[in-house]
Amino acid sequence: MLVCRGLAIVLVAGALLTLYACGYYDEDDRCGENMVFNEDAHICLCDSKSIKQGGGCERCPSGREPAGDKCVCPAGMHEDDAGMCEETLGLGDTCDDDSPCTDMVYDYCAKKPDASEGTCTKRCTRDADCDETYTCADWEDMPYCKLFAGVGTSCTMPGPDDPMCTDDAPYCFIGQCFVTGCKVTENHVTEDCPKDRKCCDVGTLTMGAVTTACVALSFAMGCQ
Amino acid sequence: MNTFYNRFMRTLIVTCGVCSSMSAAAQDAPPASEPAAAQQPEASPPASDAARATADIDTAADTVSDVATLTSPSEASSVDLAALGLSGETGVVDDSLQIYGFAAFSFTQVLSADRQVFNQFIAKEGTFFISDLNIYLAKNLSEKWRMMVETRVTYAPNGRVLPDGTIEPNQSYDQGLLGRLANWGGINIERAYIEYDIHPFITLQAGAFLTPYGIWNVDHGAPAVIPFVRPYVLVEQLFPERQAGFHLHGRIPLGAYVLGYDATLSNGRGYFDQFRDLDETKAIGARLQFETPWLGSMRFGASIYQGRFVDRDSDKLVPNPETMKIDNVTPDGIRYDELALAADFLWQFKGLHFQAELVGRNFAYLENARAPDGSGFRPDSYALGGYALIGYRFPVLWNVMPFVFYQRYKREEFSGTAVFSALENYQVGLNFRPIPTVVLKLQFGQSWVPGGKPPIDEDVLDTLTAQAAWVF
Repeated sequence: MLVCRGLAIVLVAGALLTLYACGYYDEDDRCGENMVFNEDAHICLCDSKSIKQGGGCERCPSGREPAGDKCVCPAGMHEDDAGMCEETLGLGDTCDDDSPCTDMVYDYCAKKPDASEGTCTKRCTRDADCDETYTCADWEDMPYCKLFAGVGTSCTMPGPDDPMCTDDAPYCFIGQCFVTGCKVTENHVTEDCPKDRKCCDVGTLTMGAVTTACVALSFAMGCQ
Repeated sequence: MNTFYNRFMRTLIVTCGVCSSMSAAAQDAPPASEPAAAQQPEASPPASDAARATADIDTAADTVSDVATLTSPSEASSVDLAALGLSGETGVVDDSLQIYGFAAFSFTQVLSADRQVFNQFIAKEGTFFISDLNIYLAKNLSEKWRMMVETRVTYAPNGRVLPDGTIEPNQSYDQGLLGRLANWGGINIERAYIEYDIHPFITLQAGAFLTPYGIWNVDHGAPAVIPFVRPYVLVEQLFPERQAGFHLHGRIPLGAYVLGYDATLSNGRGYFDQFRDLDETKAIGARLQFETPWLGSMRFGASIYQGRFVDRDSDKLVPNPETMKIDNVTPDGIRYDELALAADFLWQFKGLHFQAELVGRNFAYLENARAPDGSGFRPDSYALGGYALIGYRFPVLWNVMPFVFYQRYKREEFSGTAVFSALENYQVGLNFRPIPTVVLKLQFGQSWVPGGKPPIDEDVLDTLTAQAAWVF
């Protein structure tokens, strides 16, 4: 009798598990279209070609790339009157002491400290002076339009060594490349972060030696 | 984490040792039966449905429902029914309005260090409070028609913690008291239904009802729950706690066995599900319960629920450039389909009481209808948990029942599970029943996050709780 009872319990448990397996959850497909699941953050993120749109992700039209919540022309291009992306002459051109920027608008050669080479851009006083993917580096003595290349790019290797991340956004965390080492202030507008991000103290997170990082505004509520 | 398991095992061993010695001491006593199952609450209502309602307070009502009064007409009843225009068909039914309920007064004290992040989840200061105050109204409308209403009186929303960490007082100037400030609270409609016996084995319920699953969802009164509170898998509502719609149920005797069944049709889950369905899909559910006389009494149950959650803004008026008219547009909002399953087991043998529940739920969002979560969205996921409780009711010391309770709960996946993906907890305690309508509880518990990550790490939340719960 005990064997029969045990068998009955096993059958019930088996039926339960079977029914459970027939549910809605598919471990290999936890996110929607144009999304990737991020194991570290335990959330679904839009893939590298898509932006958030309502409760899903929408693929950017051909020739555009995601920047924040918008699909924009790639760096070095801008939208013409017909809504098409066209190359912005002079912007992003390589420059150095021997080859200065010759464009009338993008006449400033922005170099990183100790670098001999830079890229052509322009001076600014506020973000609106810059092209869409650029941020006015108003924390500098001589503000200019700065491109944070690779911010938010999808990455898979948490830490500073992911090959998808760049010098500008070197740290891979929760599936995205982050700008690190920024200076936390009260006003994110003047922080040394991309314009759609805020500098946060991330010392309590598991980001190794990183203590501050530029965090998307939608994710930075209440951060210090 | 080994430390926690060691503590748990030590406490378990000590408790079992106490149980064993008490059991040995009680061997000369007559066989002890669980008072909750053997004694009718003094305040239980007499009518059959009212008895069913009382089962929420004390399982004793299950045993008395079959013999509940249906044959005591009174002058007063006739007058009441005549006023309702029902006197012609209810001459032999006790139609008196039954008012009863339960309440509980509790005390909690966190014993672990104040600095623990874990303390965020509970008020760490030792606190006295009224944790339950539920009031029932039940009435036989005729021999086959009945109604029942249960309301919970609550302090909420007073004391709500806001996202910025402030605690919101809900106060208003009480003009009935010369404009003095008074705290105000709320009333939850736990259930309100009318039911009709289609057949001795088939009853149809219409209204708001508690979802029939497991052991402690319908039987949810503080006096009936052996530990201080119900398990995580119930309070986290892997099944919706209650639904609005239809509920067909019955119990079919099969010799020494009883087969019980439930089938439900409702609005499904949503923030307004008790009074508004935000889409056209209806939720369905079912439960089978098999009661046996094996080794005292054993009861097996299995439950299922399938539905669609919807949370959306109200419809909008949007110009349609093609028709040059205004269209009514329904926002997608957040929508997911869910399937919940549960199994439960209850064994009572003399004073021994063992029960366990396993509850799971999985869900998948509809396209473009995911819940936002930080810089992304919540994934499809599942939650799974269960508990086991064992205790022994002695016929001494106010019918004391020492018990050990263990539970584990794996949360559904979202950004918060990066640091808090599951919860484990054990409790050891004493449950007294000095009289059938009063229950006293004293228990110690430890909770921790398996594989805890910063900032929770390996923190352990130690709590001491006490409660006096009573039926009235």
